[in-house]
Amino acid sequence: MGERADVWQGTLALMVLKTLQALGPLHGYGIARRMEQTSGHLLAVNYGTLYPALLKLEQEGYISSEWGASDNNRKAKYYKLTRAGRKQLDKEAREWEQTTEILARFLAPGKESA
Amino acid sequence: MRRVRGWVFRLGELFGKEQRERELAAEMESHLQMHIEDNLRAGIAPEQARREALMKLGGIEQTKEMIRERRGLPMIEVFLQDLYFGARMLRKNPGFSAIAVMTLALGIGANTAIFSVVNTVLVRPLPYRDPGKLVWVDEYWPRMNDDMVPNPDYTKWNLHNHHFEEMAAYDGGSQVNLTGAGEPERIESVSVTANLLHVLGVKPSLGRSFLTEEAQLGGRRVALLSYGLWKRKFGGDPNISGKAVTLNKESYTVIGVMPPDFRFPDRRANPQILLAFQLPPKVDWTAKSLALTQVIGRVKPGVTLTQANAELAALSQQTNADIPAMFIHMRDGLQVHVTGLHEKLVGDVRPTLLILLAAVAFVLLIGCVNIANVQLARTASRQKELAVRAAIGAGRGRLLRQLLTEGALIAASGGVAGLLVAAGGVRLLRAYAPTSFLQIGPITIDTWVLFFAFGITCLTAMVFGTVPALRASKPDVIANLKEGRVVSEGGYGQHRLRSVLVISELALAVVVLVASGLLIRSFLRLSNVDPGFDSNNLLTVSTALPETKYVAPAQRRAFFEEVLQRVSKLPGVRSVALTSSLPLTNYAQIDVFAIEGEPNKPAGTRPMTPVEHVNPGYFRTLRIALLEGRVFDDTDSRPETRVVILNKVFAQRFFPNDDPIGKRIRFGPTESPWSTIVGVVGNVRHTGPDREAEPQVYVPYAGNPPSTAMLAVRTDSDPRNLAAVVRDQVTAVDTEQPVFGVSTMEQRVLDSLSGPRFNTTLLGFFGFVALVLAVGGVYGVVAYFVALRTHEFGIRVALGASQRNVVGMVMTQGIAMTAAGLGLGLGGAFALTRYLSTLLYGIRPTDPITFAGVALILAGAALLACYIPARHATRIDPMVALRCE
Repeated sequence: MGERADVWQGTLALMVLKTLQALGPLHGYGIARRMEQTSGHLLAVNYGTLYPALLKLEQEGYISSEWGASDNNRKAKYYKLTRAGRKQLDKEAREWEQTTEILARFLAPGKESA
Repeated sequence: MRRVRGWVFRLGELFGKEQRERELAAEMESHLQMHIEDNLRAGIAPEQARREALMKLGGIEQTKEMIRERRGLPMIEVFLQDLYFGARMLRKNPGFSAIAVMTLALGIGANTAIFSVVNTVLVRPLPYRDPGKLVWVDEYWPRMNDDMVPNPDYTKWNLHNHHFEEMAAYDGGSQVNLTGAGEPERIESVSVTANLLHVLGVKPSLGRSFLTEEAQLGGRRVALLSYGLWKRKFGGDPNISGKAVTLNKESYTVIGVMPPDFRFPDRRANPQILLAFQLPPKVDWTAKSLALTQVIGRVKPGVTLTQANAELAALSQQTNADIPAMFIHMRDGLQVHVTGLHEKLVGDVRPTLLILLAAVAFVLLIGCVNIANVQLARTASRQKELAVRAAIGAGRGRLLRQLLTEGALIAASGGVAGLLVAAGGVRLLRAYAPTSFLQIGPITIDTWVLFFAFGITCLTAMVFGTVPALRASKPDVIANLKEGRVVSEGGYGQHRLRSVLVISELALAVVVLVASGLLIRSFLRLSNVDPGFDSNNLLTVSTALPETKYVAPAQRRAFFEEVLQRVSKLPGVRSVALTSSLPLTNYAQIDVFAIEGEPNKPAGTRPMTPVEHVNPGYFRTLRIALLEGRVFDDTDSRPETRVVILNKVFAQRFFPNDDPIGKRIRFGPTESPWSTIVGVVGNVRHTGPDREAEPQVYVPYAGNPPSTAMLAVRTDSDPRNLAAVVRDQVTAVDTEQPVFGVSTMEQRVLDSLSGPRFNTTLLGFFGFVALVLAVGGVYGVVAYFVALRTHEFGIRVALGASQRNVVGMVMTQGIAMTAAGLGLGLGGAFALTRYLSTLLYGIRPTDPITFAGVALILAGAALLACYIPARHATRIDPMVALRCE
């Protein structure tokens, strides 16, 4: 597993929100798999850590949940974005882009002289 | 905003818990199933598919616990859970719980009770307006070796100072005969300047205070009643103002009543009636008689004690210019002392109180250490339970919190029970504390005391809860789960910690025991001091003849002759003594004297001595030893006979080289006649057993009968049975004559020791409790040591170890701990006992006998406490010990 990166709380929430925006309502297992795939298996997510993050987002009103049936007709709890969640996603994504942009400038060599 | 919403949401999640648990389980289950199905589809073997899914999730229970922590308000929920679980654990182990709660209740209760006294005496401000600005002013006269402020000094200060808002004075107080209101009664009065109540910021609850003109020479005679006297003698008459009372046969007009909670700002005075202190308005050293004043002032804001002191000292120096020559000598080296009033009132009891508080705090600390030790043992035997909890997802913090909650539960129960103990203790203290504690104010459990109790309860919870909790909250999961035994090997590390706790406990106990041992030895010395007279079967009564009625000495003599006649004829009476000042009554009449043949000393520098006026039967009745010459006889009772008897100290000090018998001395002014010394008697400790006898002379009372006289009646049996008849005989001579101070000499001796007895009893009790707790601690840890090694001892016995070997092994452990505890404790005591020196009589704070005695007692008790479990170890049946594996 050597090179896989750890995920910290804030980005985990952002990734969850983005996943739900991209795929629509989804259960916890699906979110976890999707995140793993999207990251190209670079992320080492202990699936268990996802659930407290989901609960926190729900408590804060960014997502809501309801029970539904999965593809194999298995009962599962589906999470979906709320309006507040969408707004929060926009905001956090913007902030994230800003942060990465700033960091990129620091990290990219030779740009200061230009 | 979102965060607040989150909290509200979580608060809601406190309810409907079961539904949520079911959903959580279902969600985990569906997650796993989906994962397993995916794995199967990917071609993984079924067992492997499930295992992989579980590992990827990170464990079902662990995930659930993470979510639970996140859901609801875990702090509250967990706390309630811990509380519930803690209560169950305590119930499961009622013996431990009861002992722990009782130990704490006693410790917290005793601490709170002692603190209630400290609070009243040292913490609570005096019950006057802005009491921090009140000061006490005194003058020390080195020549007389006495403190006093003659009224001209007070007047001078009062007129010329700039640093004081106001100054007030009162006299030393006196006893007056109150007649005309029921039974004649002797009551305490104090005369105060008109402004004293204003300085204190106290107003009468009825009527008015004194007017300036009433407190001047020749002013109207007026009186303020104490609330108690008003209720008791005048039935709380609301129209008392303007009515007359008779004091010492003179009529006074009542102007008001003091408030019920008023306390006079002087521990020695507890007046039932206040009169106006009539002083000349100008500084006048030439007046026929000077009054001694007690001075209280209120300094202006921002004025320090030093500034006030300097100003008054300067004023006293100036006074030297205009006073008679006699006083100039007397005022040599005069010093002025300005002290805070609170300091003046409580300064001398502060050390005692702080020592008691420290001792009782030590006892509580020992109790805490004991409980910590037992807790440690209990958590050790709970290692397995804790390991299981850790295995199924309880974090370290979670375990710590649970163990601390259990500790807090014990502490809280102890605290509540401790308040009950404190309430009882406060009652006992009110009944038995020496008056020096009680005079300052009522001893009550007020907000501060409650705060204190709460504070020490929290503190104790921390002291005895933290150590075991920290130890136990990091269980070695694997080792503990593997091991089948209840007691784990991890116990050895804990055992070291437990030994350290017991050693510190023993050391603390040694300090408390040495302190109580010193006090007990000092008290025994004090009780065995020969007072110089025999206090058994002596009844004492006093009476005071008002000088307005009994003007001539002959009248007073006739009165006392008749009383003596009547009392000595009573059945059961052996003999009667009459004197102007009985021992232990704090009355003394002091006079200057000169010895014939020695050069005249200038006025103001002559030696002084207490002079006691006694009847011929005095020495026989009190059984004071006659050392030389003779005692008085009936022929000395003629007024013109001038004879005198010295006590031993007087004879040694003033006639160091020759026999005083036949020599002559005279009292008072230079023209007074000489008296012949006819005898020398043994010393009497007049002011209490802790004070060495001072020079003292006796003269026949008949020469100048005192107006206040005390009778001591030597009886055949219990003197209290004669109290009523003796009182009747006095009243029979003069129906208006109140009798007071009815007591027995034994009672007076007991009273004179009430302060030391109180301290000794309390410290003795604390010492005893400390001893029991510490020895119990030693027993506990050694017994635990034996239990821990049952297995090992079993093998040793099986391999042929003798009983002696096993006892020796266990005892070595105990002896090492005891020796360490004793060493530390004796060292600590050696460093600390010097703070006790003010409480000790005739014994040094490092008294080797006490130190050795305490060491012996504690070592003996501790070794016994080790021996019991050691014996137990020898009885271990190897078969049983090995099988219990």
